[in-house]
Amino acid sequence: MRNKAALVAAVLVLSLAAGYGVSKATGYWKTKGSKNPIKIQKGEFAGENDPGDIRGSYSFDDIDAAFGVPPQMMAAAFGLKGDNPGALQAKSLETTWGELEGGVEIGTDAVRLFTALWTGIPYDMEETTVLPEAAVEILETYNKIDAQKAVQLRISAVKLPNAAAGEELTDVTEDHEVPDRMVRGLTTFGDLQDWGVTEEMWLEEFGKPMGSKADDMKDWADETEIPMSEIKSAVQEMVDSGA
Amino acid sequence: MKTERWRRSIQIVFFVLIALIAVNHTLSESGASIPIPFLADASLHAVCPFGGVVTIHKLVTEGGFVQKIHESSLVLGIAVLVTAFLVGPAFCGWICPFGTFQEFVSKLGRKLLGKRFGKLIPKKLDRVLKYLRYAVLIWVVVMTAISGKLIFSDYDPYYALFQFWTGEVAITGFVALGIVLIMSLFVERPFCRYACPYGAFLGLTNLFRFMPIRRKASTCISCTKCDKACPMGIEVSNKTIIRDPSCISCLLCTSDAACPVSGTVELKVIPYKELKDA
Ligand code: SF4
Ligand code: SF4
Repeated sequence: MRNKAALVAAVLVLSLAAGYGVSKATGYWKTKGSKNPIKIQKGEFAGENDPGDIRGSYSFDDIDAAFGVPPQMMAAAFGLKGDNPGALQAKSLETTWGELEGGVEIGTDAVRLFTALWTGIPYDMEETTVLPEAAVEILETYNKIDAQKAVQLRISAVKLPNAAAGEELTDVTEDHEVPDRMVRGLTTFGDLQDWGVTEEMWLEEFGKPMGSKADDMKDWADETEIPMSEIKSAVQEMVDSGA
Repeated sequence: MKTERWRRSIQIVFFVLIALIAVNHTLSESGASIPIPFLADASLHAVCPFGGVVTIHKLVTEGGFVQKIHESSLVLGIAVLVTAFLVGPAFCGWICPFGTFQEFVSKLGRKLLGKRFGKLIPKKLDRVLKYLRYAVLIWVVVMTAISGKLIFSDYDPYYALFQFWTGEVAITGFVALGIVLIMSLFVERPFCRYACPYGAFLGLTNLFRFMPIRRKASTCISCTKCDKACPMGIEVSNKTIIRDPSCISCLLCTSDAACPVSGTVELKVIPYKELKDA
């Protein structure tokens, strides 16, 4: 090619287009995290999802799907309110609470720590990471930590400035159970069928068939690339309307 | 002038595309977004090929990506590397929106300073300072590997420029952007020359790229117009094959742009015999 400028332009555009095209065709192209944390490689917990890999962009639903921490529990622990706690992202803590008294911050690392304590999977927290008092209370109430660990965590725990958070927490901790028929990432199609969701309802809503009885919502969301928060609210409506 | 028209067109397309992606990502976080074909609501990190470089360590050792980096960064990183093996770091000269931004600001600097533009930093010092970006590259790669986080984004003026409205830019990022902005009024592409880790990485391909810039000494009339045109301060007129790691393949020195003698400075596959004699 005599026109060298055109040649350079062609090389650039073609290789970027080829990179995109090939990776898209093979399903490798992704501009968002899979929301599947990496697995622990070695030791007693090898093969378990690593709480240390939770990203700020993970929603509480994503964390629920990967670690089984109920979103409303997480929201109560961190003093967040809203109709759809599963859609809240870990990074929203930083914007909600900013810097608290004494310069401490409640952010994504606190979510990692809470998740690690909830699941019992070890995780090296950052030195500055602290939990809200409400989170410690929840962990203790649900027997996720022993009294000694609770005392230790309470030394650095912070009281969140919003009094309302405390009220919500009382509601959650009094129940001691995840509310009945609540759609979560770990809810299976078997559960949904028991709760009255039919193949027809599902097809009408999503235009794609249901998964098999043992498949959970998170797997289906990953497969269909429909955001979990969208699936969850639509399915919750189906469940509630059938109840 | 046709070379410059080609280059400018590509630069503007990518500058606008990246700006759109940045805005769209912010909109998508608040629930609204313009669907950009192919990219949906990708973040700036997801379309940064340098992410593909800094994540290599984590990918090899743990099979995952560093925070905020995804498969798309790796794909783009590989595609850009392939182009660099062929025609050198043309990504810098033709695509990188931050390179384009510095060029825009430098245009203003030229207008304001006239002939004094580009004289702020003595040549000797410029040569020494150009090694700085390798120190930055090593620091970024090592620290990212240790922390698993994108540590450079807190100091990255490019990130600050395209995310200034989000509240996610660290003060150090704004300081870096301010410094680059002011320096660009005095010298061409200061960030590319002295600090960009990705430019440093891609620049290494100049040492062995398939099609380098070649000056034919036999037809050169030593007018040094190529030297004056080079935005990276390379003295093209005293070399036969440009293997300088700071070349960005902008083609501004070539006979299609600055050099007045046809066929004297060109982007060219060098025959083996010439390579040996060079
Ligand atoms: S050196 Fe860096 S900032 Fe400059 S054009 Fe290349 S990638 Fe962009
Ligand atoms: S040597 Fe030529 S192609 Fe390389 S940066 Fe300088 S002007 Fe651009």
